[in-house]
Amino acid sequence: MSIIVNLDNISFSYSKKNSLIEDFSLKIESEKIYCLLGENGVGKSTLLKLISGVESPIKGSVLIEGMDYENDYFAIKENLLAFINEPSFYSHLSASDNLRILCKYRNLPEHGIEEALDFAELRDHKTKFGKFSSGMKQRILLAIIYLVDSKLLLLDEPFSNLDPKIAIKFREFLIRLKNENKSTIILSSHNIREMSTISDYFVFINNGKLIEVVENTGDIDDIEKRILAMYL
Amino acid sequence: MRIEESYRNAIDAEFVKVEKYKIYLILLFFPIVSLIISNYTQMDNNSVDFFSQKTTIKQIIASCGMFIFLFLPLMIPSIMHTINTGNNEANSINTNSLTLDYVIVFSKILVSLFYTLIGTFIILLMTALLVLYLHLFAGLALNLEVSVLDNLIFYMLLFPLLVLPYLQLIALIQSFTNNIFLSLIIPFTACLTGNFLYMSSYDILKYSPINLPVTFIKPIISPFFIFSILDFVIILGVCITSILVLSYLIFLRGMNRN
Repeated sequence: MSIIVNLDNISFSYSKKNSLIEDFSLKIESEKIYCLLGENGVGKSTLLKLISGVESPIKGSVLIEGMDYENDYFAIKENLLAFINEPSFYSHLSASDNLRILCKYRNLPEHGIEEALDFAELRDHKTKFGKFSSGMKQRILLAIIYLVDSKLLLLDEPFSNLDPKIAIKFREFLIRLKNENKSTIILSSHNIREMSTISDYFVFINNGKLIEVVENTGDIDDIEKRILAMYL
Repeated sequence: MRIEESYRNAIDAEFVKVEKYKIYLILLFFPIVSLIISNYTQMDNNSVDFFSQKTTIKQIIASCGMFIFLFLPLMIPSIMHTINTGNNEANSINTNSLTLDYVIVFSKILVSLFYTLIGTFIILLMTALLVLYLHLFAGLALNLEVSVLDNLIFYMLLFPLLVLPYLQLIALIQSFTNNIFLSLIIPFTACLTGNFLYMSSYDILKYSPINLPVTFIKPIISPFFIFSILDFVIILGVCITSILVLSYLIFLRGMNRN
């Protein structure tokens, strides 16, 4: 297995006082699903932002397939999809129009949009995004992931607000992407049981520091114990 | 992605994004109000309002000039604000975009220019209809003087020179903030200040010897501030400099983001 993401001793903070990420090093193997675990505010979303190039580390380096954002921004972005924090799209436009814009900004054909929306069960094409329920907003992400071919996928709590039926469909689709499309997926979540069904590795984070990376053996009790131990 | 494809896609995206009914309202509202006000307002000593049927065709055509000088500075920020609606809220799209920021900014300018031209076309069309109506039903003779045509051609030539820097100034402001009041007040104040300074220089130049040798081309008689070829050269210089400076600033800002 090759290394797709290499975080080498990175640090990041929004202010000079508190460091959100501190001396963080992690190597992510390709074609695996990694789940970031930790309390709210420990730096999971910030870490995803650093990997996606939305933020730059104040120290250390972020390499994606051996490339850095300073020199190969678009080469990296071409194979990357990142959805960090809540899904936010043009509120005055429908789901299909939002997808059309994304296709245009990525120079992709638009013929697959209807199929992607059907897959995500967003058939009401006229409703504006601003009037979507939380679950429907989350489903747009599923439609985009279905539509856009990406080798690296970063998702921040992707299953929150989804009803069980769609959540199962989403999880199965991510496993399919990993196996068939050879994609690497990094996601954050608080739901260990849900994550244990798809993750290959758990990454434990506390106060912006990497605690440990544990392979998923399916032993949920062990993972829960480790989380409790981390907080204590 | 090739740069031409980038521009084409970004322009297409702007057309998808824009709220059509708002744009149509703006495109109809400003020309209609401009035409009504300009026909109610005395432009020079000879003109009276349109409804008393003493309006001259010259005056009606001059209202196009009023539209360009007074109503475009109000209409353009409204168009740009509509085009920029929701720009800051679509983070999930912006994060995953492969289009350069400055390409998106210039696309917004081009789409705004497109709608501005449509607005101008609407006022020209309404003016033509009004002239036709006066000619057919109110018995006003179609007596187009050469100076009237001069004015019209001059406005049309002046239009891109005035509008482009104005659009770019607004685009620059709106790349920092999407506040409609800021993007309306700053360029409008700049426009009025520019007009005022221009009027001042006109008053000085009018009687100065420097203005006399440039009478080799017939001065364009206008109810507005444009008076001679020298004035035109001054405006041209200011506009081209503005275009270059603002393009450079927007380009720099785009480069910094990426």
